[in-house]
Amino acid sequence: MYRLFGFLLMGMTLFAEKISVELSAQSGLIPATLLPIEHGEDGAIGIYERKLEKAFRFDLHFSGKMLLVDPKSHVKLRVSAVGDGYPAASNETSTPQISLRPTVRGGTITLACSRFGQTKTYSAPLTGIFARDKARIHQICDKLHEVLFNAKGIASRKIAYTLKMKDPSHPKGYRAEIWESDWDGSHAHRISSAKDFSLTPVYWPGQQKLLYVNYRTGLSKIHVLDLKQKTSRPFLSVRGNQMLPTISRDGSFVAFISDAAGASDLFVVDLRRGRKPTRFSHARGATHASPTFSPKTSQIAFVSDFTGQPQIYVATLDLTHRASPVRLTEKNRQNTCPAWSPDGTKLVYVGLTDGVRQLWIYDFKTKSEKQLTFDPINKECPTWAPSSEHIAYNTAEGAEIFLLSLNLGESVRISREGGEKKFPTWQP
Amino acid sequence: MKKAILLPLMTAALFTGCSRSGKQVWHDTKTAAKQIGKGFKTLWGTKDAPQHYAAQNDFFSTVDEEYSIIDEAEEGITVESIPQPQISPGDQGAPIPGIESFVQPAGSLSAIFKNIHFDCASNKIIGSQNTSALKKIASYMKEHKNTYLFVEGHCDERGAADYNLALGTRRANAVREYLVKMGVNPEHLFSTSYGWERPLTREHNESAWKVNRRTEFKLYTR
Repeated sequence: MYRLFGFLLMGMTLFAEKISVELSAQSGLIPATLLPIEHGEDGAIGIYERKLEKAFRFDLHFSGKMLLVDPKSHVKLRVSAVGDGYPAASNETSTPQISLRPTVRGGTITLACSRFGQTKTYSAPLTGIFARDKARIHQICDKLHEVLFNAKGIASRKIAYTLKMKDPSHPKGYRAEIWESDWDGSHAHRISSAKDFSLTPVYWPGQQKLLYVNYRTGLSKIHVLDLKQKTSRPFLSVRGNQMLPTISRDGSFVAFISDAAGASDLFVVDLRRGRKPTRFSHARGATHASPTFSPKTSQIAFVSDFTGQPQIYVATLDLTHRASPVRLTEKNRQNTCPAWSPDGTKLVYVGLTDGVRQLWIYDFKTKSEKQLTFDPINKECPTWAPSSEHIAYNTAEGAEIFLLSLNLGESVRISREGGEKKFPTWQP
Repeated sequence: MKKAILLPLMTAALFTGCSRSGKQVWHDTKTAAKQIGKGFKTLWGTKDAPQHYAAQNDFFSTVDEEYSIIDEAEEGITVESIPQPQISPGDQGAPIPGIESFVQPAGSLSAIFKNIHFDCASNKIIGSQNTSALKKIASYMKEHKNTYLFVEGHCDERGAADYNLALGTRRANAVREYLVKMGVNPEHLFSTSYGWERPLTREHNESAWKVNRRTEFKLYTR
């Protein structure tokens, strides 16, 4: 039995000639080349074509399944034999498995994918409007992803977030709106009313809607934003404030934090039985926050500072029977912002580590906590992509949104316009 | 045993976390000692004993017509917190308008409705400055029965955004409860939280953090 190991040389691979790339096969990344875009009718490659190529490059590179390398590079796999636990090395080289070439011809964009001597093409008509053409590129890349890896791509998924900026003319001194962008941060546009102060959006699975918190009347209330009709209405008629809503993956439950009873309680709504919420928790003297459902909606994780510091707990989601919550987090003094991965195997959260809020993963299989980020910037509000292989989060300082590919081990900033971007949520 | 735990804890507490007053250090030390005591008890439990809440009663509470609770027949639970007003200002048909009609206290009122400040990660109202300010506010509200008050809870930048929103709620409601206990009509008091989303200052030092850990007031007179 051979065990493959190695390490990635990320940045160098895209720019140097004849570079050897050592690739960890355990990473699951398949080396691929993206050839420069061509004009099928021998026309000049202009700025627009280069923008299309750049869009392809981002979608393919951050798909998390491919490692884009220079076409002239050779991939070196270090192969070792596991004897009595001490590996021996031998070398094997090969050229990248997948070759991709985008072409513009007759008002159509085509991506040709060659693998093992076979070529398939994926095409879409161009409109000349970059936002629309980019959406088509996202669809092409998602289709390619599905064919190559038997898994849905996420390039077409949107990310919604809060954009906040100082505005002396606004009654609250700040304007906070819900915005939406492509997964690479492009095509960002406002989707909520500019007059409101709005926070913490969350997409409603299977519907063209999202829930968000609106301070229109002064109290924080959960509203439903219809993305098609562009209308907004209150979700519940419970007294007091509501915040931090979340929806289960099957759309049957909503959980949120409310002070309807005077404290900071966790409430759950079983939408199959109407909209009357159930107060799911009340720990005296405790602050609750950030509920998140397991993908099968059998459990709910949330933050409570019942023991003095915010920690993450899990409880069985049963609205007819009391079940004691179980504490998950032990390693850090403070843990917040839990988000359950769509495949149910992990929980990402923010842990205060050596004075910095870092992203951590709780693995339900191994029942262990693992630190994910190590740079000295405070992070918060992680959200999973449907792939369970990508996380979007915002930094605290500067408040920008980053995309983290777990397979690549690489984070990239995706937010662009001014203001503070927070509370990202990924379209399921 | 308690003293043996308390003395080193107090010493450690002085050097950890954000800077606190002596009183807060003592409160936190007592809390830590209590938790350590609980820890010793669970130490003798099963190897993989999950960290449950000390009593199930600590986690569930009583019924309200707008929402349900689990196990309505539960006994021995009292709701310590005061429920929110039945009316939400600004709602359709509500007799009280929304926040746009509430104003920041100005002139002589600003001397009465001073911001209340909190210690780090706390919603406890401590200090004579705070209690004295709240007594004046309570007195004003009881005298001016047509006045409605919005209590806005805020936090400093050091907590995560989600936790700050919830903590701000606790601060605003702590002030609200204090005023209700001093005789102010609870239906005239509204509370909300902005977490760290509307700081007074964006500097990164103890003074700035203290300024931001506050509740603010907005008034409406009918």
